[in-house]
Amino acid sequence: MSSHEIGLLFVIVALILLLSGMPVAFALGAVSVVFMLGFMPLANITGLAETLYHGMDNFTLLAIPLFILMGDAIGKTRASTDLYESVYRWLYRLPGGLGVANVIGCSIFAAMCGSSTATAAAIGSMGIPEMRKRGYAPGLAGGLIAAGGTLGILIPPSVTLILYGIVVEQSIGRLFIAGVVPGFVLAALFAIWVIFKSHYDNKRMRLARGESKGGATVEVERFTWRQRFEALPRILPFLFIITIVMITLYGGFATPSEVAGVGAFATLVMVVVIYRCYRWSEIRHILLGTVQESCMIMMIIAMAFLFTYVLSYLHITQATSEWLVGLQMSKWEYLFWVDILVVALGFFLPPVAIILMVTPVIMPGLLEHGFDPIWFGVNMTIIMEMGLIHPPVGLNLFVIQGIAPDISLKDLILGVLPFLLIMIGFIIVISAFPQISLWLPGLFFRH
Amino acid sequence: MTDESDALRHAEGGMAQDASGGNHMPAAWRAFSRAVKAINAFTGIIGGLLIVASCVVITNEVIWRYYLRHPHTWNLELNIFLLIGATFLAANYTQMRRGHVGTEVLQTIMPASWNRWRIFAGDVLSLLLCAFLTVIIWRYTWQAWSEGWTTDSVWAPPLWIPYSLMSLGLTLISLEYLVQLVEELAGKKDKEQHELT
Repeated sequence: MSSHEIGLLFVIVALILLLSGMPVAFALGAVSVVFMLGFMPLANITGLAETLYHGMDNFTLLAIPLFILMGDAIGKTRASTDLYESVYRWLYRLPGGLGVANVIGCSIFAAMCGSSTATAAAIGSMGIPEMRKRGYAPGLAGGLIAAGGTLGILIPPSVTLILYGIVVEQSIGRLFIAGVVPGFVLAALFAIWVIFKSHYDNKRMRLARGESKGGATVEVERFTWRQRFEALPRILPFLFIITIVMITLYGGFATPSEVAGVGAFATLVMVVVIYRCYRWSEIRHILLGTVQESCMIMMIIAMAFLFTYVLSYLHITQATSEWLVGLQMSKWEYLFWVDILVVALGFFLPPVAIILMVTPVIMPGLLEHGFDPIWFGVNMTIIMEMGLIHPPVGLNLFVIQGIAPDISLKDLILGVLPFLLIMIGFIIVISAFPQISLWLPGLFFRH
Repeated sequence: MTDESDALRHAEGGMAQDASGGNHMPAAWRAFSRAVKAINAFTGIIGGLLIVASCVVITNEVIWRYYLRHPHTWNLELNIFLLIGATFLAANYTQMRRGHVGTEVLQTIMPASWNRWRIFAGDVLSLLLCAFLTVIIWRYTWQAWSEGWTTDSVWAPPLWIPYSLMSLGLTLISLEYLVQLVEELAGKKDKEQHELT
């Protein structure tokens, strides 16, 4: 059989196993083992432990569980409530101020934890009930948190960008910095939509009640300047952690894993000392939450190493890359189809699996067409963010349904739709103007 | 990520919750099942503690390397071993919570009863894979132990340590799959009997 035929068979078997009900990690492991048995020398099976070990023998991978620990420790305390309230007190006068406070809360939380689901769960558990109490439409409240949560994998530190950096052998510090501007621009676009939508909803409800002006649809809270300044110290611990992370990482004092280690350590100290979270039941909750998410991601990574090893050994990766390059597509055509492929995979695979399975195949073509791998990492992350908020995988949608089960899936999907459109628009803009993501890393890494 | 795992559990058809465990199961099986669950919870905590240990070791290393100018030779490999331990020893706990994400694209299309069988088939295939890997990796661990293999570094720790962590984790997840499958079957049988009566 030729490499192309084996490759086609490999894809078919992988799809069958992925759809069989197996977890993604084990489906990747199973297809690898089947092809090792069928097409590779027996030594590959007997030495399988060594392949797994060498895949995981990468210090940078440690950043993933450590950032998860950091996010989980913060998420399980009152810290997210404090963050949320402090931001709201400063923004309450803005139309849609509470919604904007949620977007900013998601952005700051994302800057500490690197996980989308953790961000959506932490901010959404307070944000959604508060927004609904103040008259926000259920779809807008749920959709905003689901979309705001996706900023977790774009605003550094990002688990997705760490993995992408490992796979394409690019500087993770550079990738992190490249995610900063797009992350905050996307957050600003989300906020603008929330302001517009809440203003429109308020106006419509006033008209329905027959009021000419004034008469807000919901009770408006007021905060004095003193109350606003009182709230500021509550954000200080967060700023402290973010500052530690930023200085150590971008100052070049430590590697991403070391930054994650120090950040997680500082977070644990903060959680114990400031938030008095030292009872065994609370610690146990943090440990189990961390280990479950970390294990889920790391098992996918471990098994995906087997998967890519088999692909490479059987020359499937190389043959497919050569075939893609040989298609004589224009630069933008190639990017379009690559983006479509990532969107399609986002319908049934989590971001971690997409990066590990697809990047080695599409990267040679992207480099051949002159695309910057750092820019593409950000572009791909935004596309994968979309996969987190559209069905059927839509992990963030499940998180929101866990927090607010009374919001129907239809309302949630309709609420998320405008955010999806904003993201699609932003992908087009960032493709036309790659400097949006490359400008800041260029400033930091002049050489 | 309790919220997420709960959501995922629901998304996967709530198999774990629906499986009643079968009241007619022999006492020995029930004891075995309880023991497996207790071990899962214990190794889950151990996995979490290994991640915390890794964060302490790294912080210690940052202080020694960057401030005291005295790096250690054991830091990197110790952390890799901790990572492997945290991943494989928590795999059974994660499976008990149905936390390993699957592909849910068919979930929205297929009828619920078909979905249950699909997930059951996925569990059988996963058990076969984990059991196969368990045997292969235990054999390799034994080889690493008996031949005294070590890593290539200056510290040169024995390689049976990470391999045994992998083997143990895969053994435990295989047992958890076995328990889940038997309980699912018992749950189905109970349901059928209930419907007949």
